[in-house]
Amino acid sequence: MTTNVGFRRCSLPRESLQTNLDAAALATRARTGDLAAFNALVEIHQDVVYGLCLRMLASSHAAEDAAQDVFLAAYRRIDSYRGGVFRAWLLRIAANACTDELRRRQRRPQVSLDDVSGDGSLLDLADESESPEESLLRGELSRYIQDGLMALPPDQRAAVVLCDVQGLSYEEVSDALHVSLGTVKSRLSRGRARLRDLLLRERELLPHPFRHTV
Amino acid sequence: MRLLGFRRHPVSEEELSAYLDDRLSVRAKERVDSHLQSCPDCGRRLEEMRLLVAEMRRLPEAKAPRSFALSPELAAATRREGDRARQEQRATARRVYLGLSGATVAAAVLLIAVVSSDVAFFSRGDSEGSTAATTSLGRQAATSDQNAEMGAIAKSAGEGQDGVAPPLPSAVAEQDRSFANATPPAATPYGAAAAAPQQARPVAEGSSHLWLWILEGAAGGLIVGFGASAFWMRRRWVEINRS
Repeated sequence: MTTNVGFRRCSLPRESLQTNLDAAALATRARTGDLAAFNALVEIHQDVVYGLCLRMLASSHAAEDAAQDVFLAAYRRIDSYRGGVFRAWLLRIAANACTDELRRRQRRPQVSLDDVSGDGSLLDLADESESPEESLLRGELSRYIQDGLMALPPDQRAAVVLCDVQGLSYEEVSDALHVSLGTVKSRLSRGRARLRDLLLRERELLPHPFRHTV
Repeated sequence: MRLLGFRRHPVSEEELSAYLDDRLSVRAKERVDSHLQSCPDCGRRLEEMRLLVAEMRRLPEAKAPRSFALSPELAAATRREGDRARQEQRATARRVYLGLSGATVAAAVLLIAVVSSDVAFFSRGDSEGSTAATTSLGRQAATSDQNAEMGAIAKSAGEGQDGVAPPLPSAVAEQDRSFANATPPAATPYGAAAAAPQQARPVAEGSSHLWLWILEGAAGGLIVGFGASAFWMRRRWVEINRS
């Protein structure tokens, strides 16, 4: 029985703190119209924004469009950034953009089906340090997890992606989704439990190294 | 079935999830710890969740396929678009603010009109007050006579319960007689014709007053509602202007 707690994200790591300080300084400059400062912010945050969009929308094309829209919206609204964690402010715009896109898909379901099933882009995410076999297996597991994520309601999906995939603290997720810490806890636990049950249902289909773990 | 089985456990999924992230209070953590010692089912669930989270943390990080940095042209176009949107917002906020202010003034005028007509109604009522007062006094006297008789009946009925009073049929007969005594003047055609306007006027006065009060209340509510919205919109307008 495991009594040891495996994950702890109570506070920002030191490098994140430094990044945030840098980001706040850059944002102050960007507010005065400094495009170079804004583009430096884009360079720092584009992976995390694109990652959130990709996990939320499960389509590289849609994620690319969404991420570009997020940065354009951020540039337009840079005046409304009033300090705080810049990443959380940016991710709030991204989460809202993804939720809007998902709503649009619900209204036009055929777009959703084309995007999700026709795009194997998540399999392309590979860690270069792994062997091809490991990479293939992990890609397969990644697909199962992504399928499970897509089965979650958008609010739970956003909480799970931000906290578990991207490693944000509860406080940052709370800021990014503009909800209380209690709501973050609740969405996260429901999302994790549902995802776990979905994966357990397909236990036999999971790649061998993971079949006996999850 | 599993869910039903799990509900029997004193530790919820939310607590297990928070336990995993070390986000429980000391007391709650101790409770979960002690439960986990004796519950292999929850231990297994925690372990499954821990492995799932570990796998998600190991998912390959997405890399942006290209740079999303804005070119000077795109930035300028976005700025222009933003400025245009802000101008539209400003104009809309101004229109809404002016509209709400106008509505507040209109509601205030309505309230003044209603209150003036209310005051006028009262002052007219005072000049005609003498006859109305007489009628009302007469009606009050008749009512008090009836009340006295009803009191006597009630008293005799109470005595009847104690077993010493006259039997119930006589009390009923007395009650019938008292009502019969009270009605004759109104039963004549002349009496009915004379009494009708005197009884109808108070009802009409009451309903007019009710309508005036309703109008006053509605106008007051509108003033508060429109006024508060106008105040809020003004703040928003100032905020947009500042940005």
